[in-house]
Amino acid sequence: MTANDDFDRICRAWLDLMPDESPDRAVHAVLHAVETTPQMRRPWRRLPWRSTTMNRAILAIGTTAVVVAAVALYLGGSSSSPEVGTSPTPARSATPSGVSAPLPPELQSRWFGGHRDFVQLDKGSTLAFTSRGLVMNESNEWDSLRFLDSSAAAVGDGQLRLELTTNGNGCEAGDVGTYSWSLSPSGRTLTVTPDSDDCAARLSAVPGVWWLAGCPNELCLGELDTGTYQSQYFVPRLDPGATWEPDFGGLMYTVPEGWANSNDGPDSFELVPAAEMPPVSESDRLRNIGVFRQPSAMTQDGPCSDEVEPGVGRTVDDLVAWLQTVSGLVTTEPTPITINGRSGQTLDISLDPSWTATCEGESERLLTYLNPGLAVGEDQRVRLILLDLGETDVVAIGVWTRDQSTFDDFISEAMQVVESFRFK
Amino acid sequence: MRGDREAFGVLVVHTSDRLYAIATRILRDTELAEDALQGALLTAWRQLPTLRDPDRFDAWVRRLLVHACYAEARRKRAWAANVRVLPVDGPAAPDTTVSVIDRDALDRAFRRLTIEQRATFVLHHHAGLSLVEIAETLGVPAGTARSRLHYATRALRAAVEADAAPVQSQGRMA
Repeated sequence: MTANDDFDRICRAWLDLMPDESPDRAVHAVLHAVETTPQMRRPWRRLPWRSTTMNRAILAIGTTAVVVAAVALYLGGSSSSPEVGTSPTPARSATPSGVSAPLPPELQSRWFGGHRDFVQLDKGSTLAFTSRGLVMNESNEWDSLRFLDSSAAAVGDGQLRLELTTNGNGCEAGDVGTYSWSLSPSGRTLTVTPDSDDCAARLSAVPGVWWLAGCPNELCLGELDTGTYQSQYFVPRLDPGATWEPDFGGLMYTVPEGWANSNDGPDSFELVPAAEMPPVSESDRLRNIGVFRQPSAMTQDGPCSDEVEPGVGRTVDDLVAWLQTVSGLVTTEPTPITINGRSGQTLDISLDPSWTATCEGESERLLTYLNPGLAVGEDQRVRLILLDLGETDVVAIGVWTRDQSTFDDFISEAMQVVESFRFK
Repeated sequence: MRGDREAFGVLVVHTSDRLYAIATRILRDTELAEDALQGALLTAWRQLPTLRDPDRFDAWVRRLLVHACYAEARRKRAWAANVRVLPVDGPAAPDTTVSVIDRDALDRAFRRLTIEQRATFVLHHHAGLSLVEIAETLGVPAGTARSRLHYATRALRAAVEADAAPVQSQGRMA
């Protein structure tokens, strides 16, 4: 028997120690839930709009990888533009002390940051710590574009030691750096400051403020601390059908306590009250703010077609005028609005009580009206804001509640966030 | 619709043990595995109409399960502070070919792997999938699956070999 055989045998035997039978309660729970869970037949069945996510093939989710982005955002709750892309000045030249140990669990996550020198275009970056390692990546290339692979160890209170494991970026394997780090009380914001580093590329890349990729799929931030943030993937000016590349900071926004980022994709971006993040499922959400790139009129020739309505322009005025003619939509009088220098129009939308149609597979009345995927269902209400970004680009913002009775309360809360929006 | 639910119920009964076995091995936590199983099966129910080729059901639901495992592992990492320690001896009869030292070493080393590496290792060594099948399940290139398996194997092998040395004395990870 070879050493390989022996190792394989040990591993299989070790794996076999785990249970093989699913608990009856788990199976029963699924069967019970299925009784009341509708199936998805059209993408817009759950929310008032379809949330188009990234092409996951592009996002090749990887091993320990992750990107870095060096942002020095400021998170203090100011609505002014944060400084992005700068690194903190080295605070001190500390000598690590103590015994090296695995990094603490609270660091062992994927963190989002801004642009770094080794990242192409205007993409952001991510930083991923394992218990004994660090990898940085472009924000959408978690496997194929790794940079600055380093072993990592905790060397003191709030300090870590990095040792490069491969040559590259002008550095050599074995280059050592030490950094200080701190977390916000929530554990969702990581600040790294440099002490010293033999590797100049790492010295410029690692320091900064990093946001925990707190969504279950690690493709958005999840719950947010009070502060100002930038989107990682959303591209407000992305034309339908155009090739997508992430654009860090496509949307900048400021939130008070109690908000979460639940989606950040090429076509759309979403913020929800933190109470509606997992384990609350998307289908159970009651309120959100959605942002959509380059909206266009959705044809009303057939039920829930996502074809563009011929002859309707894509300017704010064109879309607003058309919405007021759509049978089944109840719209308020459009009013001008300006958000951080971008002008547009806003109107509230709900479903005409006499509307009886729906989409295939839907059990409740529903009407789709704008691409990419905006729809409104019975008893729901949306405050739609169409903003002119210039150069013929338009963005749609929808503040939505599942229940019209909660709309006014949510609007006052949500509009504070919407009014902080800045589009690149 | 009633018939759909009954048919899906049959699928659940037939696949849940196999899926649960994969989830417990990836997550090393029976409660998280239970949550992952339920999440994956409910997602499967909701998205079943989008499955165009019924012959692909097994691979499709396995992929949903692995992603549910990712979600559970990361949710635990991000939002939970305590780590549940698995019983050393699960419901299966202990395999005397695995020493306590090996078990501890493998447990510790496995927990240090990324969740993606764990999934690759389990799909290969437990589910018996080829690298191509693993790549399809995980939605990554075959080369990525290969590198993950290589890394995981190397790390676990190193752990077993290191613990074979008589000088080490380590407590259980808690």
